[in-house]
Amino acid sequence: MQSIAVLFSLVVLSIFLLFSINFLFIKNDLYYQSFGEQITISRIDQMLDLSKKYQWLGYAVIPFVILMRVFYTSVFLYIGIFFTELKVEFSKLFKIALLSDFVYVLSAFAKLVILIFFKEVNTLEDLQFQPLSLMELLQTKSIDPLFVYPLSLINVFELGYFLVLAWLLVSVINEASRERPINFGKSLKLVTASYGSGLLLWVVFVMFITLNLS
Amino acid sequence: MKKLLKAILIAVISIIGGFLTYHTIKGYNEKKEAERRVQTLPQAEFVSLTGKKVNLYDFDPEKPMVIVYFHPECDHCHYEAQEIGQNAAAFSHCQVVMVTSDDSLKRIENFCAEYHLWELSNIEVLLDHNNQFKKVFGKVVIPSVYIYGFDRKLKKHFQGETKPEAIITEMNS
Repeated sequence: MQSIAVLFSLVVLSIFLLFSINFLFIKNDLYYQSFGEQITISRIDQMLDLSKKYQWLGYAVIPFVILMRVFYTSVFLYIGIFFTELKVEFSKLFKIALLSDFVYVLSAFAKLVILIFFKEVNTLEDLQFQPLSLMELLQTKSIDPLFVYPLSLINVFELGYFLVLAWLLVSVINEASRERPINFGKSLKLVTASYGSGLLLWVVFVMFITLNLS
Repeated sequence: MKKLLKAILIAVISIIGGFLTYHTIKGYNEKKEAERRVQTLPQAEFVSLTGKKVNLYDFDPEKPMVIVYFHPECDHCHYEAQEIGQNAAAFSHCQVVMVTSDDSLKRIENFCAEYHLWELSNIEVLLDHNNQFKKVFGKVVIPSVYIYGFDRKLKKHFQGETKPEAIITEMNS
């Protein structure tokens, strides 16, 4: 029941943040400025109609994206713990992955704040950034599209996600195996090895897809 | 038993990771190589609708060249062909080469007839058998527009449908 409440909060907050960004920044002018050099106005208008028609889809997929992300993290944590001979139930790992997901909500909130106060939005490209990431320090135009996602992933919030996951994992492991307690350092190592491997695999998968679809 | 399971897990993750990494590196290198290759008009041979072999270097070297990679079943390509057909005068000083990998001659002929492409002397529609276009130009979205100047150097590559004004502006730049 508690997990459902956490999931519900995550979904509501994520939808609210996405809605805020859409409401405040996605205007018709943004499309004209983004595509006007290459596509005629009538085609951009058609594109706008389509995007408005299917905007609800962007909100509808949020619960599934969160669930898949949490499940993926839990699976790799479970595999990591399986290798250490410790015993923790999958549901408990799922719960801490769910709680850690609030870091991504914080990341979306930071993006909204940056967009409102610190960034000028002229094209749709200006909206596609990851706050406090390595990508933000580099010149976006000089980076091959293939490396945009991995460089965006190296950010303060991803680091925070690792730390929160490790912090929550300490109590879960110590509760499950009292005879072999672990400290934060060990937990962080475990998270880095398990979730880190999963993340690395995911990054390579996204790069593979980017290359084959672009 | 547990050891075996651990070994299987490591093997499965390594195989998936290895496969994805290998194909990503390979694909990236091929993409970079294609990008380098198309900076100058590449040697590529296609087939005309009458069955004659045509090389990209067979066209008038005095004219800039616009290459459009299309497919008759793609909605954006219909738009592209319609715009080119309607703005034929703007393209009169250049050679337009439209290449398609479609294997249905009937469909291609209908496509050309629909947008009056037959009536324009500076437009040539070529068939891409054996995926020659992708081998030379790399993986491209459909439609794709390549603009080559008099010196046969690539001026611009547009991905997706492109309005005639954008093509003309790049050609005259």
